[in-house]
Amino acid sequence: MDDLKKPEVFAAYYEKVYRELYYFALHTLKNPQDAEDAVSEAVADAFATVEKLRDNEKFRVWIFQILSNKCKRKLKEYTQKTVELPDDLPTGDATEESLQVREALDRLDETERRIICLNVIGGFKSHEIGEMMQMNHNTVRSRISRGLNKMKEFLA
Amino acid sequence: MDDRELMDKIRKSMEDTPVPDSLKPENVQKMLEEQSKNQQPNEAARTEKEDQPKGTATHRFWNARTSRYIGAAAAVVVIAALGITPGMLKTRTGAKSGDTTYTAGNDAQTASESANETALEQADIQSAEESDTTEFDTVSPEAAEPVKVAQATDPVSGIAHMDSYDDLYNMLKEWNENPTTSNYARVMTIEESADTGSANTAAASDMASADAASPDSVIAAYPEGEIDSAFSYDEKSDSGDYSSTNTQEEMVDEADIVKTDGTYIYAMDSKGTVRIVDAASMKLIGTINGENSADYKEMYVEGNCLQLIRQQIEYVTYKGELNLPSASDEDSDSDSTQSVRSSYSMPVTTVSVLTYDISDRTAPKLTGTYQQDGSYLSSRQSNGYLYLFTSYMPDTGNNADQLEYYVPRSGQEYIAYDHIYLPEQEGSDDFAYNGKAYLVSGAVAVGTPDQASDIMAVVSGAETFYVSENNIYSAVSTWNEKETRTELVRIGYADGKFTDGSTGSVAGELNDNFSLDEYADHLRVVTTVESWSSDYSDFSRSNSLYVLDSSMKTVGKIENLAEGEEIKSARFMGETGYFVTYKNTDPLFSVDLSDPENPKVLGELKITGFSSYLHFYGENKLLGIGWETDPDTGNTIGMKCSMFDISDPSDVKETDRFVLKDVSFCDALTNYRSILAAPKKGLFGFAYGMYGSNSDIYDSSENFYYSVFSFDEEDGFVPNAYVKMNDCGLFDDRMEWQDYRTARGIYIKDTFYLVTEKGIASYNMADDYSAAGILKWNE
Repeated sequence: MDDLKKPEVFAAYYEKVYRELYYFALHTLKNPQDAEDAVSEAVADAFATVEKLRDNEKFRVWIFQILSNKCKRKLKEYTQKTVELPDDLPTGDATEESLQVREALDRLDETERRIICLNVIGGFKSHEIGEMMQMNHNTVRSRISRGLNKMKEFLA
Repeated sequence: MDDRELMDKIRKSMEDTPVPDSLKPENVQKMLEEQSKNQQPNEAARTEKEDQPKGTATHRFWNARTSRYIGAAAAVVVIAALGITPGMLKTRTGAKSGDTTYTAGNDAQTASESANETALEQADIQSAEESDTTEFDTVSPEAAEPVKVAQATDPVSGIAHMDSYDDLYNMLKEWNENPTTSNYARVMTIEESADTGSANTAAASDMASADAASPDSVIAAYPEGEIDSAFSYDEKSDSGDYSSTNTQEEMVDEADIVKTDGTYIYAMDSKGTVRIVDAASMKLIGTINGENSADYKEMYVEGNCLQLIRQQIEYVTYKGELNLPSASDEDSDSDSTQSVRSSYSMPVTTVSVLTYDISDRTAPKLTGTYQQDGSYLSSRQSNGYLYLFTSYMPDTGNNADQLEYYVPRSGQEYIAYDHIYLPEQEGSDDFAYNGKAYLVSGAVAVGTPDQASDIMAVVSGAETFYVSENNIYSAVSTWNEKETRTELVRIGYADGKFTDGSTGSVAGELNDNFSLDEYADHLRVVTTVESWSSDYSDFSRSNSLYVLDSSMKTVGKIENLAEGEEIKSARFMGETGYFVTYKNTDPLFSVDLSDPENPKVLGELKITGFSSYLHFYGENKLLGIGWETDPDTGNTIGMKCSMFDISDPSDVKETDRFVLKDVSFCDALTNYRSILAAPKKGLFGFAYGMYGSNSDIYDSSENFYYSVFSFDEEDGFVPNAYVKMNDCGLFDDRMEWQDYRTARGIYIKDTFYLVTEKGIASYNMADDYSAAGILKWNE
């Protein structure tokens, strides 16, 4: 089994999920600096406690969990919560459509957005998301459905 | 676009998103190599631990017998009642130190302290950024230490309360150690408590209570004897020709960010600045400034009393030892002493109610502040009392004496254990104690707002609130392995006291608070029931109506209605209830509820589209606002307003329909308080948005409108105004989503006011809504 305690091995596992991790943090925290910090801290925490991971196959779930917790705590620290559109996010080579999709995502409420990111980006099943967020998985499914519908309304 | 397509687009948008350089794999690898070098001391500490005999580790694993507590531990809701009680006025005292048991210090630990410092260093470095303390003032460490006090009121009857703090502590500990979810939940718990620890280590200076209520606040000299009429509850009078907040129950007021009393307009922005405007002259005459570090929610205005609700994080210092669980050793149980602190502080989320005397509108005076632990859920005002609902997340410290971890405070006092309630499980229907929070409920008097007249906490999650004139209902959705269910807690209240309560559950989930209604001591509930077969291959959905008595037992029901559809809106009027279900078309059901034990469907009107909000309008009419859709494709055509003739509930007719084509979104449909509903004035209104051009993908302009309609028998719906908010003169720069969401339309006599975060624009209703005046805050 690969030794995740080795930086190069860990980095290789990380490479497979890093885009998802950043996107998730970005759309949960809505702030690129905080998202970068959250991912960076999550990676450091994960690496420091890598023996907790019994099964390398679960790397993605495990590091997402750590990141999700980090984001949750960071959100608690935001005493001012505003629902602003992230027009200061760097766009890079993103297509107009991609920008609109991201805007649609940001218009959702926090819970829906996080659930959809975990499902669509993180690839988690609804019962896994249910466990991570302590919700029942039917509620997760209906939130995904509702969230997607709201996004469709926006994008139509 | 179907779900698949949208999901692909989401994934594509992720691939398009540029990732910062520091997070690119090659740079992360470098970071990890650095970290690896620094981690050597931890390695040593860790290996040492592994040599110790391992305790019984069964608590880490999911245990079948714990199915009693599904969905992890308790949710606790805190309710406060602030009431008028002459003579009960207490001034806020500062520190009441010394009468706590925290100094149960273990002096022998200092030797191991330094050795353990290194192990924690790693955690410190990583978490240092998280405990950003710049926005909190550091105050003397001798600030207020909370006091345990037995509440002056009697416990609520009907729901079991705790018999001691020890019982509560042990129960929470057991839930923490036996989560019914997988190891991931366990990991979450450890990390959360480890983080609380690291928040403490970072501070060089002790952070004490950055008290939201300034000790210098002016406290109203409350005369003994007669209640000052300035603070008496101002009954809503029908004779006032001005709009009021759209509430669910007529006699129970709800908070909002904009209020009016017919003479003045009160507007609160997201920074907490409240502006008082004389409506007739459109002049700003008074201001209340908000504090930077708080999150302002909403407010109430009654007579000469204005009450603001805001949320903030307070740091409270405690003396005594704190044992931090090792972040790097999962085999240690939480009592292992990795480190000891002689004092520590904890961040606590609290909600404050700030009461102002506005008899002089130009100079509002803060007369008192009430505070309770938890994050803001909701509030109501009824008969001179404000009822505040917060959600408090308990944790466990080392022992039951550390109340600061698991007992919420009301003011500076911990809630007495006999005012903490644990709903009982009824036979095989497990009460899931959903989530990990308490519902804290307090009653605050409009006149004497420094303390609650009654306070209680219920171990229960709360997602939806419905408050009738007699009872507070909180509901939370849950899952019992077969189907979705909703758990209900009822708490009776009167004159600022909580009286009795009961708990129960029904199948299915609520759409919103309008799915609950109380009449003649019975609660009517409509739900959408969903269930999956065990391999997730089969899904079924239907709708039910339940009638519950005051002990929350189901006495009457109708089930399996509108299979495959889900409830979109509901409203009840006495013995008749109406609700809308929808999949591709909209059946509007009418139900006879005159016999609680035998509810009967009277009629089912099928029309296209669906209503998201229902409002009784004049004699025998029901207004529905929602969406018009194409029954074949399911595509949205636009918004619609429907007027239903309900003079014969068994034969409901849609007499009028008005479609607003191409409307893209309407926040009002999920935020009913922003709807202007004034049947007595013969009008209603709401804001919505449309995109610039659907065909040009580069035109991402959004147009926001506030529309006002009237309705009469002859002409049906008549649009009175479409105010294009972008052009109303308040938003020189691009108008933002937040501006639209926080806009409110109100009227006073014949003037319509569009109140927004940037200012107010007024229109003459008698002259076709011609622009009358404008008042911008920043000018």
